[in-house]
Amino acid sequence: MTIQEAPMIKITNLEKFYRTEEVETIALNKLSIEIATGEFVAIMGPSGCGKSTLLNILGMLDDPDAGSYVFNDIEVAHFTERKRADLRKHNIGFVFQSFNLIDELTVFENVELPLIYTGVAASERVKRVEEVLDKMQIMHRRNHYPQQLSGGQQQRVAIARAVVNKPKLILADEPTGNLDSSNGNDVMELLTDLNEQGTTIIMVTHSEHDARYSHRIIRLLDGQSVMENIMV
Amino acid sequence: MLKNYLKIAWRNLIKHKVFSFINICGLAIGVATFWLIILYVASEWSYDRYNEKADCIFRVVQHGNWNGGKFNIAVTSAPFAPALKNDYSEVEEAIRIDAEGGGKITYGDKQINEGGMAFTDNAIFNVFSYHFLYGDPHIALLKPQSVVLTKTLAERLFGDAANALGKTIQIETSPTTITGVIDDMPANSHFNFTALRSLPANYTDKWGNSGIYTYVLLKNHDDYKKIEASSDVFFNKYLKGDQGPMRYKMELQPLTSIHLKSNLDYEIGSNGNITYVYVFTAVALLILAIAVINYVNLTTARSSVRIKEVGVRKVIGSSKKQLMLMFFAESVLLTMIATLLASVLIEFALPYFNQLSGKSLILLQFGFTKTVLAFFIFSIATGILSGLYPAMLLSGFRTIAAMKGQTGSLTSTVMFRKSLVVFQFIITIVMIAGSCIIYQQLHYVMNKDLGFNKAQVLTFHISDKTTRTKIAAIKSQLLQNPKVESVGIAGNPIGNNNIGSGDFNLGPDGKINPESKIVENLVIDEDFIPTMQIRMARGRNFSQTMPTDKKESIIVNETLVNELGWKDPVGKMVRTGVDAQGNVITKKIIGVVKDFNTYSLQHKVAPMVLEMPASANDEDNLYVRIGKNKIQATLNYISNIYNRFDIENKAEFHFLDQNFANQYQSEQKQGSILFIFTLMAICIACLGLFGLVTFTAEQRIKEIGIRKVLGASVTNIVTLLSKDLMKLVLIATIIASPLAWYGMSKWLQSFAYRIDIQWWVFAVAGVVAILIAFITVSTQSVKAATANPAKSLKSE
Repeated sequence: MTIQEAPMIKITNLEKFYRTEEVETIALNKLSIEIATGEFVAIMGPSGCGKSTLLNILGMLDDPDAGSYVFNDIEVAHFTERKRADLRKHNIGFVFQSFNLIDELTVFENVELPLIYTGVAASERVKRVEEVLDKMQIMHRRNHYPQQLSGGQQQRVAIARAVVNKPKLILADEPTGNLDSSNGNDVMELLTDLNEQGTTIIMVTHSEHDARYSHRIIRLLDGQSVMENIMV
Repeated sequence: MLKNYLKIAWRNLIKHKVFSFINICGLAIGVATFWLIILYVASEWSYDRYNEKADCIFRVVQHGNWNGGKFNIAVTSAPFAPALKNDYSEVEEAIRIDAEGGGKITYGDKQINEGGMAFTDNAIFNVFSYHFLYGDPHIALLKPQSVVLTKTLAERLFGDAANALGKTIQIETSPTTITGVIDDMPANSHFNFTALRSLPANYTDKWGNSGIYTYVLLKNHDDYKKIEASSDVFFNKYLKGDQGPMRYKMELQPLTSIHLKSNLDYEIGSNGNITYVYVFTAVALLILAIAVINYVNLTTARSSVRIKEVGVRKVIGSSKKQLMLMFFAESVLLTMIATLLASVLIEFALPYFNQLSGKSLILLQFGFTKTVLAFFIFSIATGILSGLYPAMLLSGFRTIAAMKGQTGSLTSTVMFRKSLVVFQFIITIVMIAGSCIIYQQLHYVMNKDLGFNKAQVLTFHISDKTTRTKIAAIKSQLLQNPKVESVGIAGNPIGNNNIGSGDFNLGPDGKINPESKIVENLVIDEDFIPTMQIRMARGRNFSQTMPTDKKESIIVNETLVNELGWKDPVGKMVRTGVDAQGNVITKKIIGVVKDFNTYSLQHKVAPMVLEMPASANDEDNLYVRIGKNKIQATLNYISNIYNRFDIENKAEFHFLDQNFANQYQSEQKQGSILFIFTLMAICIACLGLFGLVTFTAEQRIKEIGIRKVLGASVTNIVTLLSKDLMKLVLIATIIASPLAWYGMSKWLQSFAYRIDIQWWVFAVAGVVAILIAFITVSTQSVKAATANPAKSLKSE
């Protein structure tokens, strides 16, 4: 595994506030981080420290109030929603704690969905979905609906869906949070494999065990990075 | 992509069965009702449009007014048509129709009575588009005593229409040659005859004798304006100052507007009413709106269920446009299914609807391709319309919030949804109140005291003139049966139409006013007033023992006395006309009758003069009051007696109460149609409420569980769930009442005698709506309230 020099992600002095009528909460406080292409980074910290906010901004689901976010040499901090969505669907895959599969679609259809949105031809879609389902070892469940699967299987489908478009970056938000330890380990092995094949992975987690799969742990507190551990 | 949308849409339909059921049923009922009304309205609009030259065909009608009076009549006199053609180069053809061409047809030993024949000019075939099966339209009616039969009449006479041409039949006493057979006139014609007879050679009549229908074919549509503008010149030229105080005006009615917009005296047939067409169109749109609102409300109410999916799709890469398309696919699929179901409903409902509306509509009224295309476009349009707001709302959620299932406060959405429910119930309550008021008014007119006793009186017309001279003998023979209580005679059958009017010079004390007054004029014998149980206000009835009554006396009604402001009318002299020798006829008022209606209660009692018949010919309508028992035996008895005097004709009985009831047929028809639509509206609105409360109960299941654990009773929970919705229905009642009051006051204005609208009608309409709504809501809220709380609390 090689880590290239040019950072894939570079955020500088990133700020994000949440305002209600009476109070203003600082979620991210002048945060600066660099993540290189091919890295596997874990983000940890107590509840409310800004982990999810950071992940949302990195995933271009949300925009920062101040600061810079450079993704692959492009400044995206002030992109419009439409531009962000476009960049996102070609470059980023998401894995969630609660899987977020669409109940009305089968395993196959769930995994196929990102390909439909990026306009991949039908025959190509079948090929790629089957390929990735095979890799995730859930081919035999292709015609089942999410509710018919175990948690571990659902998360594998979710990962399949996240990688089917061959994204450069996978953002995982507590991917093992709803799984037992055996299924959790399987998921972490999968992510490690993907990383070894070149996909950059950023994972938010509460679990020190899971974090050990990463190269580097960024610890957040009150919207600031307080410590970085390089894993050996 | 579309396949994916439809797949999702279909699976959503299957998964949420209750909601799909409510949405599809509501929409299907709405769409079916909408289409039924559209078929009805389209058929009303289609009248006479099948004529190729419809755009340039006009009917000439007359309006006249003088001091204190006016007339608006659909008829003109015989010289009108030739004069119009002669005077105006814009008139390409002018034709006359005399609707009184009916009579007994004899062919060999076959005899039929056919009332629906008319006399007309040959040029009618240049004006109207009638399809000739046999014969030549250019010459068919050129010769006198020719007739063109419709196919049905030809088949009745000859079995096969092909055998009719060239045969000579006897119509009454006149031998007539059949010169053509045409297809039956389409049902959507404002007049419908079974045969057209040629007018006598060089037929004409006095200018003042209006009894003919005149139609003109103009070269250009807009030419009618010029002719109408020169109306004064036309009348001055031909009436040569004979008008007296009367001012005439000629109007050219476009052929295609006669059926819906013309409401004159002496119409050629019974017309429709444009107001009802507008009202029905509005009702159709409103019912469709209620159904569409159900979809909008149920879908937006359920947005919290769909919101996570929206978030996931956005994260995966869906654009807002793609999400909107997905929701449109769902609403369009749903409306398509609903429309399919609706066409089945229409097919089942049409026979009943036709019976109710007196039409013969079919589902494929506009042909197969057009109907399918219309249904297709309609379901897409309705789908987009109903999906618009939900699609915008659902696709507009912010991604992160949506992922967390947060819909935000959605105050405006909730308000919007509540307003829509209020709107639905406003429509429903207006319709309930409207139906109530129509029912009340019809009940009122059917049961109002008409000034005489209409029960147990039958009338029949004596068409044979010689029989009319034997009236005295007929009367005495009829009276020999104890079941026949009394027999009177009058010159007109009342309850059917205008009884006609005459010109009288009625004066203040002692003198005869030189200015005449047009009043209703009815010829009666001395037994009419007692037979009808009309009450005398002053003076006396005509009497057999007073030989002067026949020629020198009249009776007037109270309205006439009041209009003239007479204090002591009995004994006053009235000039009734001029006799053949030019001598003035004056008559003395011998009595005043209390007012009685001679026509439907849309018409006010008019001033009236009652005279005794001048000749036997005026004694042509018998009024027979019969006993309540053994009616059929009595009718047989009367028939037998009558046939002793008139062997050829059968007595055709009409019951007087039925005559009057028939006047309200169209109102009853409209009332019943509106009532059915009201039921539909209630049904759809309640389906919507049912859906909303089902969803609320589902969403609040945990809250209900906690409340129950804390000690809430079933009543508490039902109140909790029902209160909000009931409040909306209450608000709707408050808004609907003035609307319904306004609309129904307008409708009631068409009746000279009408009920006062009572406030409690609106209260009843509101209570009915609230009650129905409450029952609907309760079914679900009671279920939620009686559920085991342990179960619902465990569900989280």
